[in-house]
Amino acid sequence: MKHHELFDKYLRRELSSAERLELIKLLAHDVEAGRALVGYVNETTLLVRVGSQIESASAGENIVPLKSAPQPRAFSWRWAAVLVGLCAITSMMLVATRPRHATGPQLATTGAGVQITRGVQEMSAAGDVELRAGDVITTSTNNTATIRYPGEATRILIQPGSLVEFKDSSGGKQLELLRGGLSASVAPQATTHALLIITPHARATVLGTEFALRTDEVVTKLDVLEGKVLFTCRFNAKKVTVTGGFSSFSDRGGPTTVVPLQSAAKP
Amino acid sequence: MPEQNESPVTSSVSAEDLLRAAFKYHDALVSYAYGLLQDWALAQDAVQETFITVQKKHAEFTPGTNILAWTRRIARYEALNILRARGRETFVGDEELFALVDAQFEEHLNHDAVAVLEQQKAALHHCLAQLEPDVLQLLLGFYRDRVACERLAAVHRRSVNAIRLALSRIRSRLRDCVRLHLALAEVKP
Repeated sequence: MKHHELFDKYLRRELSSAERLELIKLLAHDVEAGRALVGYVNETTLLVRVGSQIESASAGENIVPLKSAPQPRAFSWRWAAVLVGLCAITSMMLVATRPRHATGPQLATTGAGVQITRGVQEMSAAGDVELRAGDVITTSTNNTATIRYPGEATRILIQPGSLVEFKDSSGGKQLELLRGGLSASVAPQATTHALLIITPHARATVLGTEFALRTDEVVTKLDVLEGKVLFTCRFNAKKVTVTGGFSSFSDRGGPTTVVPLQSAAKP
Repeated sequence: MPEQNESPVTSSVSAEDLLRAAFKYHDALVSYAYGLLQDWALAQDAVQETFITVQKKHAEFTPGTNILAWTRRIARYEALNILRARGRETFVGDEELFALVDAQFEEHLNHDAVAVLEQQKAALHHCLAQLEPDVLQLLLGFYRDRVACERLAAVHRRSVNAIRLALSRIRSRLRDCVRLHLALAEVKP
């Protein structure tokens, strides 16, 4: 069997007993085969990471027009043709005049103290920057940054002193809050594409609401102003639904009882 | 692999500085975790946990030593944790193969390999963007989502053998494309 077929089967956990032994023998005795395996896994990793980014970027372009409702019998085809023509011209003008930068999620900053790490590159996020999956956003102690999504009212404000990774959004918007805080106003999301925010202790699943999230090394605090958020512990999968006007905390032991917003003690 | 003194962090390090330096090896760590865990989603989880641990244990890092080697050791620990946790449910890890694959990464995933990875990434972006959407879906379905070949064959209306052959050809085409881009980049002024 060719090496790459063996490596593929290994990565897909499809090795038979004989193939497993063949791979073990190969890796134990052939230095070049070991190098080839690492190269193959590296290459596959890049295929998936970059491929997912491209898939995510093109997902926003796949807008399918809605089917028109059945027309009444007295429908005038002449007027319809005029209307279709006008719509087409308007659409073309809209497309032609649409700013090019509004194609993907954007990061707007309040000052020079916001940095984006993209691969090995570090850049200062001045003005509007189009975000890519894998970007890591660092806000200094006196600057905030806002993530905006074109075509909807969702806004996510990253608080000063925070560290956030902007993740692949192909299955719904996703962020990881590694440190600090953020507050968000989220437009209604499709149930299959909920906004997911991951912290060291919890996952907040959001379908459309206003809320704030803050995390440190011990605990994550969620305040929901409006709507509802599914708050799940990353360690034991315990979950609570936090509705508007309520808060919850989560550490390694799971989310606490939901308490009214005003009486929630600070973590 | 000997510890290489190539870390950009040389004096006392804050958690933030160390995390930022460690993030430069994000792709390499995902690749390592993917190699150990053979599951894309679990590999992502392991790397997330790795960065959380890097932040928590930043004081234990010795400035001037190899950040890649240090974070890889953490990633190994997190991968083992995941396997152990899942061993209680459905998946029992193959310790012998795990150790062998781990040894290959320790030997061959060094700073030079990471530099190559970053160059390839930029070129691959261009090459993958030129693929037809269904070809990209096939690649992601096979590697990221581990969709069964029979199902991929049904979705793409081909035989299982044709799917495997197509994947091999796509990877070969992409490899050529990346090579060409890297060669062109070298000759550009």
